[in-house]
Amino acid sequence: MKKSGLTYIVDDLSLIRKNIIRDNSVVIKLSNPDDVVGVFQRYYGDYNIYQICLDLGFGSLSQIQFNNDWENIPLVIFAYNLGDLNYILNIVGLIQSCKIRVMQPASNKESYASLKILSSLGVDCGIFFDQEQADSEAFLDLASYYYMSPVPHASIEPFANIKENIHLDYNHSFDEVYFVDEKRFLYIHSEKEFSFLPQSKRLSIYLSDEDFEKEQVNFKLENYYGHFMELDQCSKCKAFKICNHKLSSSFNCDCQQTMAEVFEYAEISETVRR
Amino acid sequence: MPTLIFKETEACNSNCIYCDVIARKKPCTISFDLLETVFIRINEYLEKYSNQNFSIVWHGGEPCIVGVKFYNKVLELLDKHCPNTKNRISHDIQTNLTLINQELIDVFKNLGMNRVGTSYEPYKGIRGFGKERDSDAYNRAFFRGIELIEKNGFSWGFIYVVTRNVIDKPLEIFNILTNFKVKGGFQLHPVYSYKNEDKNNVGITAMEFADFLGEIFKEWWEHRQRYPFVQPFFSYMNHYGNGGTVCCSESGQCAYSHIFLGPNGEISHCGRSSDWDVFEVGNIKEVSIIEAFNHAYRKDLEKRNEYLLANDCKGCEYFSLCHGGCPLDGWNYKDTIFAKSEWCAATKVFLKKYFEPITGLKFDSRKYEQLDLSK
Ligand SMILES: C[S@@+](CC[C@H](N)C(=O)[O-])C[C@H]1O[C@@H](n2cnc3c(N)ncnc32)[C@H](O)[C@@H]1O
Ligand code: SF4
Ligand code: SF4
Repeated sequence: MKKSGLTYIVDDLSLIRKNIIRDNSVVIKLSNPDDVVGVFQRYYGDYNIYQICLDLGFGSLSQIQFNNDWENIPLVIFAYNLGDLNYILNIVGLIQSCKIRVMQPASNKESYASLKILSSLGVDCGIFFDQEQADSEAFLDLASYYYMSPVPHASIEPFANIKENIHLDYNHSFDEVYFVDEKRFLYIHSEKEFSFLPQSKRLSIYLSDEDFEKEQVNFKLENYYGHFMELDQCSKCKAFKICNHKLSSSFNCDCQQTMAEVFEYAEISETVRR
Repeated sequence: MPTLIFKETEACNSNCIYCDVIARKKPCTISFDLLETVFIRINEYLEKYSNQNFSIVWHGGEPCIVGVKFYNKVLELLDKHCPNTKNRISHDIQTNLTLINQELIDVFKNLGMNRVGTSYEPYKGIRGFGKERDSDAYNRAFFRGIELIEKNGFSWGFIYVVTRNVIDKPLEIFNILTNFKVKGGFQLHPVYSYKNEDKNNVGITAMEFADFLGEIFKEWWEHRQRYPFVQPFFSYMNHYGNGGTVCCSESGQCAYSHIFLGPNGEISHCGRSSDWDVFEVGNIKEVSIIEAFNHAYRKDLEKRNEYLLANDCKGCEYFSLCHGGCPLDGWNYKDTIFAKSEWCAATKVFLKKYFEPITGLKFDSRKYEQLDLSK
């Protein structure tokens, strides 16, 4: 299997072994904040850690006892909310000095205000889409804050990613923010199996380079090109270039309209910048 | 530089609903003996015109159907017969991409190609394999082809043929095409039909085409930074801006720009003239390329502009842009190349009703007349 240049995603520490990871970078998924520093210290010398991904589920950001040990850890934290805002404000200097991005769910109405606060405090952050539907007005309001607000603020995903890639000459999905992109990330399930998406078909790690490339193309045919085979609403959508079907059931109203507006904002802010 | 439209084969693995090649021609492929004659003739031409280049567009039918052996033979014949001129010969290809493979790409690279022209149709039942016109199988193979050429660093653009099936959904098709082809570009042109027979009922009128383009143009213009180079919009903008030429069919100067060669050695002017059996010039076995370029019909083509200005196109403000359209369309319409194209109505309406009001650009024919004279 062609491995170089890819990032492997593992949630089982026993899979972080040289014979599996080789020289690829790795995303380590954790759910307990107490493990973060230890895991990073244990592996960072021997492995190229792309990011540690800490998923707190319904937990709050403020439940983490940040200290100086967190400073050099490339970390993305998925938290339900900020929790105790006073605590966050007290340690914001420390968070700013860490390589942290804080992600909050689109379905939690609180997230939109929290993300504005974090961003204005200089903390990189972002929204993620969960099973519940998001309020498209709040989402657009956050987008316009990110793209248009003259007040200095840190990046908010996926808006930052959209803006950065808007001039690419191929379709780009901001899904890489969530570690989904068959050309970049592989989910490693065991010593023998990987998949392109957490839930997609499992494939053998021992595939030859040629077969691996074929599987990448097959995956793209089923997913990306699938829209053009089915001529579904995404294939006809004005926002496909930035969205690529990622949000079909994520909003409480028409996703096309919402994402088409995000597209316009991103273009305007790019034009202003240039 | 002369462009040779070389249909080395008129066989095809597809059964596109509008295709005159498969409807009107036999699925023949040129023999290696005849191919050898072709390269002797090309060399002869280039030896005589030592300051000229020569462009070959491998066309068809489906030019990938002949396989890698064929193009290896081409390389061999270039070495054998054009040792001193082959550097002035460039190669392009117009392929449906459904049969492309790595071996073919490698030999295309050896011919100096790094781009392909192709064709795309997202709607079912228009381009497809077999009697049933299986578009799903066709598009699956096509998408694989795109992946392979992109992996090899080739760029690509496509032709989209506007048929009755999509005439009422311009924005929908535009969104699909621009989602599919983010950068680079594609060309929209109407379906042509020999003597307007339109056996499969896919034909559209010039007015329908003008409105179709117009609806798309509104969107393209508003977001032109976002969208790829869509033709004919891009050339009209270029033309209004600095008098650049539009495509061959509207250039008014195709008399000496193109030559066509078919699988049995038959010479004609271009792909369409061959599909419709106009301008039969003879066979490459007996007629050299130099002679073919001196054929009497080319003198007629040369006189067409003057004739149209005094007749069909008299007083038309857009003549210097459209030149009465493609001579073949004139022939198709009124049996003579001295007639204007029936598609000229589409050009006029599109420019007047959509292009000029939307862009605010004004057509200045004097600028182009001067340019024309200097060519
Ligand atoms: C005849 S094909 C040959 C090359 C190759 N097989 C392909 O399809 O690209 C060249 C181009 O002519 C277009 N074409 C075929 N029949 C047409 C028609 N009746 N009107 C307009 N374009 C047509 C095709 O869509 C294609 O883009
Ligand atoms: S906005 Fe909706 S319709 Fe458009 S590409 Fe995304 S998911 Fe598909
Ligand atoms: S693929 Fe090209 S040559 Fe073949 S039937 Fe279609 S248009 Fe004609």
